[in-house]
Amino acid sequence: MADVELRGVRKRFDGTQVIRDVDLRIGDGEFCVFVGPSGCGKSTLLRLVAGLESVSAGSVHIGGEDVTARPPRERGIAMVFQSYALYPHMTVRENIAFGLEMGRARRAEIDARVRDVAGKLELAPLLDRLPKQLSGGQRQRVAIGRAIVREPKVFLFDEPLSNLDASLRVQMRIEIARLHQSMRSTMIYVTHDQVEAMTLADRIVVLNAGRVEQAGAPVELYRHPRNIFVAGFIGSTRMNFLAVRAEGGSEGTVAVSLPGGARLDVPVAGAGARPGEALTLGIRPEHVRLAGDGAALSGPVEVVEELGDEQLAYLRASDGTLLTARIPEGVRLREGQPGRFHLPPAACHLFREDGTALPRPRTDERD
Amino acid sequence: MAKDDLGLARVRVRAAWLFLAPTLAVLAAVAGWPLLRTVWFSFTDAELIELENYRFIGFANYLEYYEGEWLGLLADPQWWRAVWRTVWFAAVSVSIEAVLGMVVALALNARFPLRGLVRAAILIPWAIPTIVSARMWAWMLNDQFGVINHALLAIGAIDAPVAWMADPDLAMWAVVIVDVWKTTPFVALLILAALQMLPADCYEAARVDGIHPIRVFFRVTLPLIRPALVVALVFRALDALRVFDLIYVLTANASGTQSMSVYARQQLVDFQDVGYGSAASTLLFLVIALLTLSVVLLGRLRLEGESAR
Repeated sequence: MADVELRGVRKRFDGTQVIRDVDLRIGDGEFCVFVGPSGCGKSTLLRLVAGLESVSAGSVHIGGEDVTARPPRERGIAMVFQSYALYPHMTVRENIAFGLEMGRARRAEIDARVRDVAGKLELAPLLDRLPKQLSGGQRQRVAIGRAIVREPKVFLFDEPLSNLDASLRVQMRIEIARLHQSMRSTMIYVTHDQVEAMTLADRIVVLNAGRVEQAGAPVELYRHPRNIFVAGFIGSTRMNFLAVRAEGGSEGTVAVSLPGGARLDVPVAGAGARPGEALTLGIRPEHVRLAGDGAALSGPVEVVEELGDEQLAYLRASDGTLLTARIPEGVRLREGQPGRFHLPPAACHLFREDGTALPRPRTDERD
Repeated sequence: MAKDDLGLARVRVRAAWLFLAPTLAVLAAVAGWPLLRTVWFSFTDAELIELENYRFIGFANYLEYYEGEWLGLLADPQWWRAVWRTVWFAAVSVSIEAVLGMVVALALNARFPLRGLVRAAILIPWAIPTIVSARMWAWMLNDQFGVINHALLAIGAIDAPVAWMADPDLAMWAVVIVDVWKTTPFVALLILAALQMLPADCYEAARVDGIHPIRVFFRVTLPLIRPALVVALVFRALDALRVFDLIYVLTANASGTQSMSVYARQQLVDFQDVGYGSAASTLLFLVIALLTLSVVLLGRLRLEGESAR
């Protein structure tokens, strides 16, 4: 068992509160991704788990044991750094073996384990090279190899792919996912890239200003963001936000008036909003339709970005908001022409003025 | 196209020589000319009292067979003792400075309050002119009034005052101690600069991997700062082989502590024998050049051996 638990963890550096009261439990074998904008404290949180930083308050538990006061080497962890952190004067073989020589493992055994890991990561032909003779992707694989050869209980990844170019990043992402499937060990992965988070994670922890905004499965965060921050952060094209006003509505729906006067009945779970309350309506660009029933926004289409298999169209609403729609290829939209964006009510999110979401009904689990 | 390239290259080479010319001229005037003149004098019987009157006498200053006896510098046991003493001094003091410099640099590289102040303070011995610090130590080591004898007597380490400069062996160790005191900060500073260039993430990786700090030092830190260390030690070794002021101030011309430079000065100035003294200076230059060359060659061989591995 190697679950990781943080209880009331706080961290301050010279008077600045970087981590505020984080409570989190990561199950055994889970792939957990910490995601958030730069400076949100995600790397610090990872370093607290690793023991590279000490907590100011609270406790860290790994495998049921309190490891708060233990140094990194007694926590059964391995870490992959953003900058790879390879020893520049050692060959790939020496880099991978260096952490093992400590455990008084026999030479033949070390050799066998290095070869085994090198085989898994396709590093075998590179074992006698120095880090400077390797490409970025190869260096990253060596760094991962150095971590897995120690067979740790928990893997920690600190933005491991952010120094790689786009195509390599996708390839390494798949390799890391495969690695997790074959090893079934607990992994904590820090990234600022929400696509990496969505594709890799069993569970995503969204951090902002040292606080956990929401933790949950990727689809859960996508469909039921708890607040406007998570809604805006998750999703490959940013969610559209519109200022609207509650008009009333019955149990299970909130009627809102859109800029331009159209009315929309948005389904919600539980209590609605007070009539006259200022709300923010959120809708993802992939849910905006060019045709259909229900309320629509009209305005000039300012820009159309052709992406090949789809297009991104930007429409200026009457209150000045710029709305984005992802529309399939083949649909002809011309820049400067008036357009109409339909907002399917079931795809809409509503947020109160303090940023919290009005819960959406859970019966509707299609996109 | 190719012709243009050649033309451009020629312009660049000419510009390079133009920029180098002033430096080369100054170097030739202040280093090249005196060196050549010294080499020339070493083949003559010139004397300091009338420098214009001299004869060319070939290698007689170096080695000469005269009435059944070998004469000249190469046959002078006092010269060879000075050579051996200087090499011993360089080896011992530079070794101690390397170890102490490393310790000081590692300490200064750690975070602690008032680190900036301590870093500045440690440089003071290096900033003091050698003459001043040698004079200061000479007084501290004085057998009758010196504070060191006083302190040792007070704590009961010795029964009677020690005449530090009277016994040649003791005097050489005193010279080593003063040299170490003075130049360790220099070595420490160069090592500290190298330490600050080291990648911090490697050390975090080592911490996570649970590698013992001593092992990290020998397997990671030392190999990575070796280039800087070699530079510092070569600098120091060259300085130590030329040592003059320290020994001259502490022990004057005492034959038991003469270094190569002190020997050459004695011949040149005290004995007015410019020819013989120049021969000693020339040999001193050759000895240092040979030692430097062998260190550099050895270093290169080792480097090549490592990259071939």
